[in-house]
Amino acid sequence: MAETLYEIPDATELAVTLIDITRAVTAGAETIDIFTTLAEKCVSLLPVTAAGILLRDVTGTLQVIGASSPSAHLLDLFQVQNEEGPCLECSSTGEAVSDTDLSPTGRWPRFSSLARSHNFSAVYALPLRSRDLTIGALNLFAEQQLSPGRLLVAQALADAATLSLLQVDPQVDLQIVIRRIHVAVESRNAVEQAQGMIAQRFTIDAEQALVRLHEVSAQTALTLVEVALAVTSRDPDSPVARLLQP
Amino acid sequence: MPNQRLSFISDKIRESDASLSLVHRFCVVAAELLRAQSASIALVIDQAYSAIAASSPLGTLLEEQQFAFGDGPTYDSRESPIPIIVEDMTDRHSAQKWPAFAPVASKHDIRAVYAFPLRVGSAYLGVLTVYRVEHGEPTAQEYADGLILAALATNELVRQQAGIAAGDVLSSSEPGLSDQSTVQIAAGMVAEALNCSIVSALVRIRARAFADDKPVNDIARAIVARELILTK
Repeated sequence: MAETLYEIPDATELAVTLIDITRAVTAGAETIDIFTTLAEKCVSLLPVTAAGILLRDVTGTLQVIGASSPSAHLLDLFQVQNEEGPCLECSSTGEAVSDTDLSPTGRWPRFSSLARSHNFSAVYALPLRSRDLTIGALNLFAEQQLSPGRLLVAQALADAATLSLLQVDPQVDLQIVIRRIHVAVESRNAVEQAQGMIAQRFTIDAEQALVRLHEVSAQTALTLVEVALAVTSRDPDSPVARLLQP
Repeated sequence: MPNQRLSFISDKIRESDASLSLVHRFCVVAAELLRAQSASIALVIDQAYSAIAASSPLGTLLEEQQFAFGDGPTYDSRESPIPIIVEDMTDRHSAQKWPAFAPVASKHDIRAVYAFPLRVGSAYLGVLTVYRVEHGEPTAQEYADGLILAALATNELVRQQAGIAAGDVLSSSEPGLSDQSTVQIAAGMVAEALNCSIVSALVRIRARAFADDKPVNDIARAIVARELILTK
């Protein structure tokens, strides 16, 4: 164990990340914000190019709640895993899944060729799990294999995501867990709808629109979801309306 | 890949009385799975309420009363994506919160009311409500079943608004509306371009997919890529 921990040069940043997440959860931050931060941290703490956190909703669909980048290619890679791929397997079995071959004749040919086409050569799915309950997976895309020590860091970040969502004993209150996942999905949908409106308004793409929404969130001290709802409801009295005038 | 519960619920709907409308069958299954006296589904677009279906006349009555009074958990469901769970309509909290509707529920021996919003992101289409004689909260399974039925009903109401005839149960559970990021972004773009609501944008995208015989996601991709522009 000492040997693998020794491989973690950025243990301080990991510790700071976990402390920040705990603070955000205690302060009542929205799941979508916490997961987005965690996905971004995966990319800064680990030698991975992209990361995403997926939750299984009540219908069994894997929903991306936080991604290290809102790129359409990445979203496709997450989405295709509702048909086949490491996240589907990981979230069904509760076990970590890795694929460092991404062979077109392997277990998930469609997913593999899509991942390859974006220059990824290794993919990892780590369970978001508490006891018998698996609520989703942390998905990592890399250009090289991860060492066992790095995977420990990744699992710690996945655990932080799980804890931030559960907050309660899942054996006692499954209904709260279901509700939180539902709210996270609907919040993300609302943010995406607002992204579309802003993309159209300023003739920019959806990624740039998300940056604009984040800027307005910082300027107004409203959460990202509150900004999104002010946009979609076209609330003329919200400070958001003035900041996002065409 | 749908989970077992979604398949179970789809089977239940398939086994229900095929002479009823699909939305009516959702209500029948909701009442059964959530052990309710009645269940109703309302369509609410631009704040205009239409009764769509109920498993029994009591559901229709209780739903209509809430929209007539502008008071009640069903009426309040527009405010948030979180289902409104009322464990006891006869307690003081309910009486204060819904002074007009609480006595009506009690008069019909309804103690618990659960209202599941039919919603995609910020777009509110209506509500599935179940009315129970027994007070108390739903089990986690009942809560999950309510959300699944609400998701099916949401897809079906969008199809209906798009002028698409009711198909098989499976056509309501097709991926498309709430599952796909591209669809949400496209809906925002259409809403902005046409100065219409997000609901109306979703309906237009759904209608276009049906007209072109293509998956909803393909239409959404083309809109996001600015290869396809929907007009009024």
